[in-house]
Amino acid sequence: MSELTKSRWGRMRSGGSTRKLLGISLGGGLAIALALGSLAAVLGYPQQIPLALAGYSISFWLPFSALIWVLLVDRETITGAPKDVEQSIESRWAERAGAAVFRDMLLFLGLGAGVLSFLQFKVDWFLEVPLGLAFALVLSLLLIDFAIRYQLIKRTEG
Amino acid sequence: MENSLPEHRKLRGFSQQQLADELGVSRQTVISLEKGRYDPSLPLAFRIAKLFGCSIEDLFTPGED
Repeated sequence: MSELTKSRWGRMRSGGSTRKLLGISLGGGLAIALALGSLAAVLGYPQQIPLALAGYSISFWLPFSALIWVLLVDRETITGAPKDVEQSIESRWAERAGAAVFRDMLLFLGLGAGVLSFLQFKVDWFLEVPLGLAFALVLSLLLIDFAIRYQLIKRTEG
Repeated sequence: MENSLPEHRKLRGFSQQQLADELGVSRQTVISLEKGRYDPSLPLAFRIAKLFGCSIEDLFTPGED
C-alpha cells in the first residue's frame, strides 16, 4: 500500500476513506450510546429519563465510537503505525506493565482480603457500595496502575 | 548484548525512521536496539541481518556478563 493512502486516523479495511470511517465510527457510536442510554435511563431512573439519557449517552458515545473505529480501521493505513507491532519494543513494555499490574492486583486483593477478614472479627464495619461501582473503581485503579507502570518502564528503558 | 546496528545503518544511508519502516517496527524500537536496551527476537534479528546482507553474528555479539 502506498504512503499516500495513509492518514492519522487510517482508512477502512473495506477500502473506505478516512472521512467515511470517522463518520461511521462516530455515528454508530452515537446510535449505540443512545440505545443503551435509553435502556439504562428507563430501567434505572424512570423519574429522570431525559437527564439520565443525556448522561449515559454522553458517557457511552466516545468509548463505543472508539470501539467501532478499532474494529473497522486498517492498521496499515495509519500514519506512523508499525506493521509488526509484536516485534516493537512498545509491545514488550506493555507486556511487562501488564505482568506488573497482575502482581499488584494479587498483592492488593490478597492483602485486602486478609485485612478485611481480620477487621471483620475486630470491628463491626461494613461498607455498602454498589457492586457495579466497586468493579468500576477496581478497573480504574488497574488501568491507572498500568499507565504508570508503562510510563516508568518507558522512561527507564526508552 | 552489543551490536553494530548504527554502523550498518549509517553505512547504507538509512535514517532510524527509514530502518524502522523497512523492518515494520516503531522508530523507538530501532533507537532501543541501537542503544542495546532491547534484544530483538530471533525473527527480527534475521530480518535485520537479511536487510543488511550479513549474518546475525556480524550484527550482534554477546556482551560481557
